[in-house]
Amino acid sequence: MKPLMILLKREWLEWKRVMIGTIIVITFLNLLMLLSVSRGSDFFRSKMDHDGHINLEDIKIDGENIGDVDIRMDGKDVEITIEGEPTKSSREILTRVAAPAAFGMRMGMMGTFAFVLFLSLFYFSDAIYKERADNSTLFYRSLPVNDHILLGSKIAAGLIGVIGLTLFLSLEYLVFIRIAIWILGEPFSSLAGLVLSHISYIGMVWDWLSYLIFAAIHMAPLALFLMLVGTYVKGRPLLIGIGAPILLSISWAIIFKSAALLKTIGKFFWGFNQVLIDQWETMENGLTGDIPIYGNFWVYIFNTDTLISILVSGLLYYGLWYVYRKNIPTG
Amino acid sequence: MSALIELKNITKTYGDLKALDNISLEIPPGRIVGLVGPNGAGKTTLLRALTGELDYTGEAKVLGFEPRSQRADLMAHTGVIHDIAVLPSWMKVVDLLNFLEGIHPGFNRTKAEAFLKTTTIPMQKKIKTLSKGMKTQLHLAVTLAADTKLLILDEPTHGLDILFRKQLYSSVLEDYFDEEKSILISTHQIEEVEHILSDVIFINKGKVLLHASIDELSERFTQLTIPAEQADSLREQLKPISEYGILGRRVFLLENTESKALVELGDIQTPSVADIFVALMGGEA
Repeated sequence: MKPLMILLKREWLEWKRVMIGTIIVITFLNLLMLLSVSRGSDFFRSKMDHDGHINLEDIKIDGENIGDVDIRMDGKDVEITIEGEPTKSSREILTRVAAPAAFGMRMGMMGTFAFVLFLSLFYFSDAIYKERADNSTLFYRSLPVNDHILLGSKIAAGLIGVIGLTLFLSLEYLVFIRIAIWILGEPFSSLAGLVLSHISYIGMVWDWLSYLIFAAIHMAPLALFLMLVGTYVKGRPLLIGIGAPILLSISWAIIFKSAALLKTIGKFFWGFNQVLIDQWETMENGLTGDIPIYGNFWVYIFNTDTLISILVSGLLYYGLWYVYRKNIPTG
Repeated sequence: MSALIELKNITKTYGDLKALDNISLEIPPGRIVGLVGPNGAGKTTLLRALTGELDYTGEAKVLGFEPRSQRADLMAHTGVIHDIAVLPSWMKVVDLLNFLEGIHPGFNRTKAEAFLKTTTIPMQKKIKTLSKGMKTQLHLAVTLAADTKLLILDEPTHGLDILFRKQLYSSVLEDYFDEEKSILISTHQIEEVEHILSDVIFINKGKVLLHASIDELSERFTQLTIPAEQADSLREQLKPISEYGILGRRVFLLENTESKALVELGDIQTPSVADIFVALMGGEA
């Protein structure tokens, strides 16, 4: 266990500049969001000052107008009135009102994940390639550590890095959302409070973690494939790792007049995203309790796709280990 | 005492090329062995097979471990310095010491730091910013600081100037070698190391041409210097394995010839390992 921890620390030392750089970039984007929010808040405040109230008319569900939300301020007190069809509970309407806020939170966190996922492509393609390029594979293999721990440390570092960084940046995004609401001031803070007070943050982080684990299992074949390419090619591992399967799929489509391979690969890797979309649609079709931002993904982990991912990952890992031991030079 | 390295019929092929051709040898502990051969002879391939870096056919035991399947165990007792810079270029020197202190059970940080204090290597510099000589010094420092039984040096002075070369070998002898430890040095510059070797292995085209101790070499080979005019008659009689001319005289290198019988013919000397190597390679090249 100790060698693994030391090797993980080595990965941190090697990649910490990328990690910290990513945090700085995302923080900068969040600051830009705050800036735009503070500008927008001036507009709404002036509207409130001018009209005395904000009326969110014509809230539609499935094309039907179900009610209006009227927000009035009297001094510091905020009055929110919801009018709609008697069959629709005010809570459900509130949920509808909350949907854009929830959507914003999800999209922000998803955007963060997509960004980190994009960066992880560079990590996985370079993880072994960089060692080969500076010949340090020979150094690491002259240490009393077996190959599985050496490779495992890189895979584990990638997983921990992607999940850890995404969680950290997601939480940072949520903090910025709270700051943005605070900047907007009343009545928006009260309106947002109606939504935010129903969100279990611990539950949300737990769900988000479950989703990230689910996504990691789904993306593991791609990560291992990129590592395998980085273990073998003479140069440009990312370009070859991404480009070769695309070229193969296109060639397949041209030769066999069938896009089956392209579709299969696309469907497999889109699968982790489709789950998220399915969950959102389920949630938006009716809520009775707290507002789940993501939903529970643990159930998705135990299915056939996961089994396929694990089997394919196992095969790719064997290939990776086999080629890694050959220590093929880059130049 | 059991052999430090035992090889039986080790063969390694790359396509049609036999990089190692049925090599069998035994090296006892407490020796400094020179693995000598021209470029492309198979020296590095053999060393990489010994350190579990390569697949091969045949049987190999190094320190009692099978190199390929027990590489991690073997490396706990073996230090390796390659002919190229292999330390992670992005690490700082101090990071490397921290890393090795954590991962190598036999690593002695105090010893490494003491060695580095005798050099101009800055602790906070990244390895990629060091000169080639500094990189070799650093690798030597961290390798000698690990408590190992076997040290493998693969062309360690490759690309270094004469000062670094001298310093490297004196460090290896002073700071590492004792009767319980062994050193295997691969080189094609035999004159550089022959004074420290206890054994030599000549290798060419993947085959071992000679494996002997330095003492055996001096008993087995004799160098006879004679006047040039006697060369033709003596050549038939003595059948030298090689000869060359110098200052109007001929120098014969003789194998398994009684030295006493040669005293009256000319000047007798013990040939250098380099001379023997050149003579044997002459027939193989």
